[in-house]
Amino acid sequence: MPASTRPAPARARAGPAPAENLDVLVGEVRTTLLQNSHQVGADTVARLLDLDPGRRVLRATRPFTYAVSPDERVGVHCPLPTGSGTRADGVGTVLARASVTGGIILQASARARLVRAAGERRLPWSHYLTNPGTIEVGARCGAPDLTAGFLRDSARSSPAAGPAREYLDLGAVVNRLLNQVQRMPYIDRVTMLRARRTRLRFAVTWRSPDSGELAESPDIELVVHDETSRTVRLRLPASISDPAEAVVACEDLALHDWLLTTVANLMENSRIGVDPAAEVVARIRPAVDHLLHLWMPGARVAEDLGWMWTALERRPGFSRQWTSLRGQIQNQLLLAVLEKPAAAPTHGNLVFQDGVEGISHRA
Amino acid sequence: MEPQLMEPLPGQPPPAVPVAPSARAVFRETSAAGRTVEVPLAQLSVELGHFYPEDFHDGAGALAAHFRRIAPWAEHSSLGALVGAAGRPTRVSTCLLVDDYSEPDTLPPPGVVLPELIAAAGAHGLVIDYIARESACVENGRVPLARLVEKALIPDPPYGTNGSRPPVHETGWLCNGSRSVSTAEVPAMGGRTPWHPPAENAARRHSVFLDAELWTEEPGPEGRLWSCSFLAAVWQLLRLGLLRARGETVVNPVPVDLTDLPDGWADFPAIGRMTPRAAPFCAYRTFSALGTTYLPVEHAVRVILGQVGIDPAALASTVRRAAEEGLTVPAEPADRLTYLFLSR
Repeated sequence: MPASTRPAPARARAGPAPAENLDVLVGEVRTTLLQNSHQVGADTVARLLDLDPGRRVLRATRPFTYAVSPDERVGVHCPLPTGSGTRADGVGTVLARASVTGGIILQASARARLVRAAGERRLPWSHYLTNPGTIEVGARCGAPDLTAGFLRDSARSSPAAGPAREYLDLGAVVNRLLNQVQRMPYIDRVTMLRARRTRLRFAVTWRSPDSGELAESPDIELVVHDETSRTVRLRLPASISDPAEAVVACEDLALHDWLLTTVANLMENSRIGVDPAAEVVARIRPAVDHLLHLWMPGARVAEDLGWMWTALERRPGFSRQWTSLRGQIQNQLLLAVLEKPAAAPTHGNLVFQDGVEGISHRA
Repeated sequence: MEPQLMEPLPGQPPPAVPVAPSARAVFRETSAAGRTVEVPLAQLSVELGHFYPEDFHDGAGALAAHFRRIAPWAEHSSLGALVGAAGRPTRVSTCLLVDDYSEPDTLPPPGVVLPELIAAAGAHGLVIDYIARESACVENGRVPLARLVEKALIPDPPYGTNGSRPPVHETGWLCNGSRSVSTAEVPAMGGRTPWHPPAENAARRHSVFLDAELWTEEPGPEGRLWSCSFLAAVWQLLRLGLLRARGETVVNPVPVDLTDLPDGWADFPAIGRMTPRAAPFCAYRTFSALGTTYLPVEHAVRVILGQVGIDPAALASTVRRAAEEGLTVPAEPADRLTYLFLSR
C-alpha cells in the first residue's frame, strides 16, 4: 500500500530524517522456579536445556552453576508497536534461549535487534537467516518511537486491555520456551515454594558518539509496573557495543529482581509474629535451602556494564532490601532455636486453637 | 545431585557489587564457551552424478554416456571460472551419490557398482574423489543428519507471524509462501469459503509457489521415509561444509580400498574417499551436473536451503576463509550452488 506508507511532507519534517540509522535491541526475560521438588543436578539441567541436536548447552560452574540452551530462532513478519502509532512492519528472526541458575531458577529470554531495512521490498527469506536475531524495520520511524512502543505495550498488555493488534509478541515466544522445559520428563513438577513468573522487558539503544557530553554517560531506567511486570530502558555509550552483554545484564537483573520478589513474598506470607518461629522457618526453609546463596548481583555481567548494578544499588538499593530479608530470616532461625525446648508445647496449643492443623503437624 | 546444604546463614553482608579491579583476571570455563570446529574446504565440490539402482541395470554403456556428456564441463579451466579463480590452480574435489535409500534391495553391491562407476568415469578423464551413499544423509553412523536439519528449519513466515503461535507446519511439508485455502478445509455447513490462491513470499509480482514434501510416515519398521528433495538438501549442506552437530563436524570421509569392498552398502562408509590425495570433500561452492529430471528436486532443495538456520560461526567461517584466498562466497547457502541440467 504505497499511498499510506508514503509520508506526507509535514509528517516527514516532524519525524526523524529518512536516512537516520536505527539500532534498538529489544527483549523480554521471564523468570520462574523450575518445577521440581528439589534442586536438580548439572547433568539433568543439561538435558532439560538440550533443545537442539545440532548445538550444545553451555555450562558454567563459577560463581554459581549456570547452563544455557542454544538459541532458538523464530521467524517473524508483523507490525511492531510504536509510541506514536505510526505503522512499522518488521521482518526477521528472534533469538530465544532458556537457562537454569543454581539448578533451580528457570529463565527464558527472547531478543531481537531492530535495524533499518535496506529497501521497501521484502527480500527472500534466506537473506534474513544470514543475520539471526535481527528484525529489519521497513518504516521510517526512529529508535525513540519504537522503544516507547515496545516498553509501553508491555504495561498495556494486561488481559484487561485485550490483544490490541498482532504486534511482535516476544512474551509468547518466551512462555512457549518455559513451558517446553517445564514439561520435560526429567523433572517431577512438584513445586517447592510458591513463586510467580516475573517478566522484564528491555530496550537498549546506543548513544551516537556525536551526542556531546552525554555520549559517554550510560543510564538505566527500571520501572516496576506491578507484582510481576518490569521494564528496563538502557542507554549505552557506543563503546559498549556488544548487544550480547546487554542481554546477559538484563537476564541477571531479572534473576535478582525475581529473587527479591519471591523471597519477599514468601516472608510476607509466612505469618511472622503470628505463628511460632519453628513453623515460620518450615515455610521459609525452601528459600534458605535453595535461593539465598544465589544472590550475586552482577556476577555474570561484563565489566563495562558493571555501572548498571552500582547505579541500582544506590537507588532503589536491591542489596539493601536483600540484606534486610536475610536478617529477617536469620532472626526467625534464631527465634526457632530459642523457642524450641521450653516453649514448644504452648505454641503447639496455640496452633491447634488457631485451627491450622495442616501446619501444626509439620512444626 | 543432592540438594546443597547451606551454612546456617553466615552473618557477613552480601557480596559487594563489582568494582573496577586494579588487576585483570582472566577466567574461562571451557564448557561455558560455544565452539564450532572448522572443516577442511576445497574451493569447489563437483557432483558428477546422482545414481539410482536402475542406472546400473542398463550396462556400462549408459554410465559411459553420462560421463561423456559432462566431461567437458568438469575441466578445471571451466571450473576455476565458477569459483572466481580463473587461471589459478584450484582445489576441486569430485563426488557422486549412490541411492541406496529409496530401493535398497535393487541396488547391486559396492563390489559391482564402484568398479563400474570408476571405469566409466575414467574412460572420459574424470576422477571420482568421493562416493557417498544416500542413506548417509539420513544418518551418517553417528548423527541423525536428516533430523538435525529438520530441527534447524526456520519456516519462511507469512505476514502476520508475530511469534505468538508456533510456526505453522503442515506435517512433513515446507513451502515458499502461503498456501491456498484447501477445499478439504471448507466446513460442511455454512457458506463457501472463497478460494485464495497460494502466494510466494517476496514474489516479484507473480508467484512461483512450491510446496515440498519432506517426509512420509511409513507403516512398519521403516518409520519415517525422507524425501529425495530433503536428502538432496542435506547432501548440498554436507558438501558446503555447513552442518555441525554440537559444534563438531559431521563429514568424516573414510579411505576406501577398492580391492576389499564390503558386500553390502550398509558396511560402506557414509562418505568414501576413493583417491588418496583428493582435495577436501567440503567446498565454498558446489557444482552439480544432473539430468533435467532433477530440476524440480533442486528447486525444492533451494526452497529448503532458504529456510535452514545454519550455525552462524560455520557460515561466517566459509566467507572469511574464502576472502583470505581472494574469493568471494555469497552469504546465503542457496546462492553457492551451480547446476548443469542435462537433457535426455
